[in-house]
Amino acid sequence: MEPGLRTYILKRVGFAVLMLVGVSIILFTIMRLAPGGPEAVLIGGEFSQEAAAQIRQRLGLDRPIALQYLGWAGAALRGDLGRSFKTGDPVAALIRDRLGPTIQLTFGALALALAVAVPLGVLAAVRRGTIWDTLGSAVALFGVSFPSFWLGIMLILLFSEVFHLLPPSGLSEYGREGDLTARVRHAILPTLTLGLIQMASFMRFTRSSLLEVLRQDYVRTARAKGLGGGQVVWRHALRNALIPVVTVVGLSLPTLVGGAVLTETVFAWPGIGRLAVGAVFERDYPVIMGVNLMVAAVVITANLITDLAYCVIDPRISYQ
Amino acid sequence: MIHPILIALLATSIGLTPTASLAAGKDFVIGLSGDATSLNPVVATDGQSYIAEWPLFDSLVELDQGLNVKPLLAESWEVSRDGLTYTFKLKRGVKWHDGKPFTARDVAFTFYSVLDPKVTTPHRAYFDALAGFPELTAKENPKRPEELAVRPIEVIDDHTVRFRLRYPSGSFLAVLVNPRAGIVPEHILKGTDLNTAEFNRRPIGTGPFRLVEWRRGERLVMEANAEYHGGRPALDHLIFRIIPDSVVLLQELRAGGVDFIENPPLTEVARLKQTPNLKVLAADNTSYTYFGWRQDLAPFTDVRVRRALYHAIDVPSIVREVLQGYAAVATGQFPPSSWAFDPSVKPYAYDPARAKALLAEAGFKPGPDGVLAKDGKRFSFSVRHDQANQSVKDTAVIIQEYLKRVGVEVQLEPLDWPTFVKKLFASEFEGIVVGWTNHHDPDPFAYTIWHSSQWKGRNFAHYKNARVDEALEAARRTGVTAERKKHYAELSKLLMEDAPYVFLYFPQQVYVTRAGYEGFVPIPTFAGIYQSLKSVRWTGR
Repeated sequence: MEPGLRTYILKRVGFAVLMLVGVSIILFTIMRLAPGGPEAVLIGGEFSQEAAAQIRQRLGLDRPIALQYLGWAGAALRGDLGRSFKTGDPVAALIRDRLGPTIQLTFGALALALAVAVPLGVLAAVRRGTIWDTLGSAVALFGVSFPSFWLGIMLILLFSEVFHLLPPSGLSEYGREGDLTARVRHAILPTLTLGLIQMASFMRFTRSSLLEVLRQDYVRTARAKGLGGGQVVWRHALRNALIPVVTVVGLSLPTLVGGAVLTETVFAWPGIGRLAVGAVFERDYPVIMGVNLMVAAVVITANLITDLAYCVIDPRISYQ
Repeated sequence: MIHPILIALLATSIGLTPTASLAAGKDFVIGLSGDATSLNPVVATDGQSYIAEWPLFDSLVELDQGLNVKPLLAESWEVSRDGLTYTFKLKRGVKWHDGKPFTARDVAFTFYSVLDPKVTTPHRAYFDALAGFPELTAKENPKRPEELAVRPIEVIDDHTVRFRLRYPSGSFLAVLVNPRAGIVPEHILKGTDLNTAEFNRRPIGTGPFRLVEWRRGERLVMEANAEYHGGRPALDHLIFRIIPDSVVLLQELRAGGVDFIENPPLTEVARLKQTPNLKVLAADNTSYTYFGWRQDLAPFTDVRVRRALYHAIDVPSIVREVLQGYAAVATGQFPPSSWAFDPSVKPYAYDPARAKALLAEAGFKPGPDGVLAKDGKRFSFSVRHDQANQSVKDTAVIIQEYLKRVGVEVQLEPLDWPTFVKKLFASEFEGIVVGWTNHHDPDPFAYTIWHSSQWKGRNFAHYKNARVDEALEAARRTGVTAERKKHYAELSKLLMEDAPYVFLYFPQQVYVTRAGYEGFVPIPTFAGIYQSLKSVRWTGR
């Protein structure tokens, strides 16, 4: 590894850690500034001021907020994210249980989006101005315009109600968890829903980026050398054109996670997104902190990896 | 990550057909909109947990469709002549799901846990009548049961347990029913912190079903308890699937992914009734929705104003439009299914002209902008409500419109539930529209909502009426139902005269199930239908 790259990585990692600390402080404060509290949810219809005070004391919410944060941060540093106010489960275990379905969904959607968007984007750029280009743009516009909850429900109505092809929701069926076909059948609609939205932006980026690259001198040179059209596009132009696309893919991760929240709710998909939404509505502070911190860590790491990926795609980029 | 997609494409290419894996008629799938949080009946607080723990735990007694108490874990009971001692004979041969015998010690342990101030439980106040209640539940230095001169709960032998009360209470038997009073095992829970015990996730009960699997946010699976003291249930498995979106839940029902759902969108019910393989069930409920305000704020302190607000709102039309008829118009605190309900009490008729006249009588005159005003103050106030409850939301909007027609201005303030509840109990509101839970026995809620000693509790609207206090106290301190009935009838009359709220409606609980399943008993209390899961069977018709 070249020394410049090493310094760069170290600097970025240090910065990432600082960022996480900052995120946790902001999150902790905002959460407590939000009106309401976990007492109402914990007590239910039999609420009373006395019971609320008792709960606040049990959960340590009666202490000054700075002390609460330090207590939480100290434990978090030791790897203890605390327990859910609502269920008493360790937060780390809750996240671990929900991580698998979310990873499957988001990465499946990402893979699907890229697998469709890049070839379509190339097609639209190469056949610029033809029906392919118009069609591609139309699909892209379609994709970005749909809110995922609406798209999800429409897909369910179409594939479940009308065609009776796919199950409407869930991760798998009871007694068939090991059955890969059943799992895939359940995964198709949510993956499609989440993927379609990303697909649109990836395609547009591939198209515009490739169009730009195709106008450059080295591409003309390659053509002048007598290389075939396909080789010029796929081997010479696309590689450079993908750099902005990689950035967009990296930056899309928060959007994907955000989209997963809605998609998971619609499809009854037991992932992180639903855990987070439930925790927010129930003011389950430890779970909110745990999930958000994990998402922040993932996003920061993804951005770091994106930056590093540049030099793999384009050897001219170096980190001096 | 490419693999699932390739496989997906492959699966698509080979043709997809729905496959049934569950044993038809034996595995019953129930769709729930949210997950349970705790399966320990002592500490659970939410509706989903109540539903899920019902098949797992038995209580001493249970309710029938007329809300009468009948034996369950208790075989029989005797009440002393003074109404202060209840002695229960317990059923013999009852076993916990782990095979250990159920005894009177479990009963004592359960209710002492409810009384223990270290345990966060919503049910403590229901046991106010127990001897030693103030000492055991004191905030400072609570006593332990063995420190009391008279034991409130005494284990006579393995199959006999005695409760001692400090005053005769007509509601005592009624609070010993599921889902709030399921009995938990002493041999597993003794010495643990009930708030966080592992038991709350892996419960052991004496109920007709035992827990097999709980995948958080996904499903709960229970299997029939072959040793059940009431006979093995007809169904082999209960599978509770968590599906948050109501449209998707409905679609799962149509597609065969679930067999039973509750609270479908009411606008869909007419269509569901036409669907040949589905059956719609409706059950009365004790929870009610009302439009209330702070009793101690002007101009609500004037009874003419309160009655005017009642006259201004057409409640039956709200029931028709918002609830699609699946509700009973409320005439007070008690639902028509309750023995405490008094049919002679009638609500104020919808009469906007009368409303205007009453407001004029109270000194209000139309201002330049059409809103009534008195002494330069416009009759304008905010109404807070829960933003997540669709029928409450719709009701609030309609109320706003009705009041506008008589010259009263309302600003709606939807809040999320935790915020809303906090503001309610801090009495930080002017007006409210609330859907409020209620107990099937009149006392626990009527007393805490209307008695003037409860301003810091559920009487957050700050109602005060000496005659109402008197009726509530009299009803509380007698065990004779006929006496109680008389006092509650008096309460209902007083409340209607005083018009402290606009009592709106008691929504029904609507369920949809696959035709062919029989045996549901819609007990008119919260989630009461789930009690009958043990007798539900598949007839195939």
